[in-house]
Amino acid sequence: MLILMAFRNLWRNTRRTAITLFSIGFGLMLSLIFTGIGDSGYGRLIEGASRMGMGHVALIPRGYLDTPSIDKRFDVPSDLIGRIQVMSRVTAVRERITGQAMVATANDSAGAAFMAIDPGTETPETLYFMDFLESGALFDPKNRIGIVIGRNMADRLRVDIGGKVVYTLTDVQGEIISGLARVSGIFRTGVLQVDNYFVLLPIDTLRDLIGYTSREVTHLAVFLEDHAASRSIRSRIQACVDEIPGAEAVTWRDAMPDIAGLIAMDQSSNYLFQLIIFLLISAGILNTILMSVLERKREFGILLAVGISPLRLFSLIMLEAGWLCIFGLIAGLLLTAPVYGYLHSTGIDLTAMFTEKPDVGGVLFDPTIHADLRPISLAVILTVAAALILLSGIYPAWKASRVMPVEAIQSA
Amino acid sequence: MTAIPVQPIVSMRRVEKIYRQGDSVVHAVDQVDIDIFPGEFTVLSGPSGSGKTTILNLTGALDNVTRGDIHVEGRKLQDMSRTETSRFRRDRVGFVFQAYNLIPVLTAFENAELILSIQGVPRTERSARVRDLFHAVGLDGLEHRRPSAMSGGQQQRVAIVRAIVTNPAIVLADEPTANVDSRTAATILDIMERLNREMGNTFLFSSHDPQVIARAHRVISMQDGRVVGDERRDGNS
Repeated sequence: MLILMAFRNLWRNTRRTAITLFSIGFGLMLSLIFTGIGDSGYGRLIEGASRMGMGHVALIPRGYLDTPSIDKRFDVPSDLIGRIQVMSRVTAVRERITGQAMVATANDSAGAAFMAIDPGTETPETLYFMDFLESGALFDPKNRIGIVIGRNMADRLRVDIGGKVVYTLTDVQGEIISGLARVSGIFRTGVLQVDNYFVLLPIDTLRDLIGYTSREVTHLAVFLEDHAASRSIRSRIQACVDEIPGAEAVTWRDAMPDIAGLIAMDQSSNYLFQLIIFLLISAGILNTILMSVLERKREFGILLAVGISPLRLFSLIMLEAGWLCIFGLIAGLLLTAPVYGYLHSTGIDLTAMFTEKPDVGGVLFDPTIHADLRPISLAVILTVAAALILLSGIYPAWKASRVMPVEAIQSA
Repeated sequence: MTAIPVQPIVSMRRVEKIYRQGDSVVHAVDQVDIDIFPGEFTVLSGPSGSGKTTILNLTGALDNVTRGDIHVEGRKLQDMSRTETSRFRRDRVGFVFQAYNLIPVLTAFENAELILSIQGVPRTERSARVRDLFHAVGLDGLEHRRPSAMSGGQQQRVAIVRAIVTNPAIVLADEPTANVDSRTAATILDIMERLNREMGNTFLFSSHDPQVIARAHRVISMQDGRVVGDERRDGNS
């Protein structure tokens, strides 16, 4: 009966309730859309950054992140990749060697960051550059002298597909050594520092050149279905590789602290913005419920007189807040659905606002605003919104339960 | 053979109620001793401000005495906790107000069954009880009407059903006929008298309506917060 009363009480002042529901719904929509945009943007940024080389989780020599060096390496046990590969949510495991080199042609030379890969195993899901190959292709696994370079570097070195380049680096003994390569592919990401500076080399050729054994790498890049699982997978991989001396598993956050920091900062300002929205909405809800309680003081006196306990009166107001919560959340989801649907499927293209392709930490950032709300974000927002609405009901409910029957009945 | 003495349902001893309004002190009830016995149909009469409503409020535990004791069914009201007071009002007292005071969002039937529902009476039983009483007071067919769609007399009859449906020890009615015309007042009094006679409900009214006073079995006259007369119509004044 109290539930029914609470429901009907909500609709006594239809206009006021409708305005309150709209404000809840609108606030919820803002929160869901902004979080969805954030989730989408962060997700794409993390995916791009992971595919630049380190993966979502990386197995690296201890201390490698502080002072990356070619002599920091570890031997990959023969069954390790298989053991990691079968873990749930792991989609791929790739061997990598990364370092610095000087790349030269007869025309010019340039400093470069190289990543040595096994071309036979790479896919666009594990290698960012495959999406941006402008000419040529990744080197054939049998082609031991292939090299893939960025468009800007190719222009600077005045070299094209099939052209000869020499790359110079230090080996594990610290000796300077050189390798000959022919350009098999040229990529253009649009990010200046990447197209100027990055090269891909065949991993087996590089191992031979720098004195690595056939199992040694600077890191193993582990790719996941969802970057959110990186912490738990990191722990499982760490447990799995405790027998490898000097190796440690790190997440993309550890490997790319600049991107992690940027995301954390952006998330913080987003949370603050949402907190302000929700506080404003809560104040509105509190006002609505309080007004409705003060208007019904006499009625509460009657209810107390006929035997409703103060606790039940408190419950009645909280049930009204509960109904407001249910309808408010429904209103929020209904208002969100069309906006979210559009942003999720089509998005808003802001390319015209940028003169160059935008990037974050060398990772190309798609200037189209999309929304892709993670289920956990949806659950958290709905829970927080529901909690705030219910909390807003506590003071008016307490106020109603403290009504003195005689005074209330005698009030106008 | 010795008659077993009947215990009063309500027993008031040296009851005082003082209100303070700024610097002034108002003795709403002053040194009142009253006993109300089971099955009585009693009216508290007197002019406005004589303390009638205050006596009803104190008896129904809606307000606290300043001094003195009130016992209802042997229980001292002042010793009850807030929860016990609520339960006492719910289970042992029925209220009928001058302004009906039905809950506007509930239908007539729901208003009447509200307290039964709070008491945890099963739906079928409470439906049966409310339906019987609706029939008894002539409200058949009006069960699903909201109070706003009913006349004053009809609303007061719903209020009476609400007051007696829990089978309380005493029904307290504060000027129940003040807001209705004399014909409707007569009907309401007929109903209350019949419930008193047939079901044994104890009624304590406050009223200065001559029609109510004429029907009462006992009239307690009040003036300036004091009892100034207690007349029993069965000749035992």
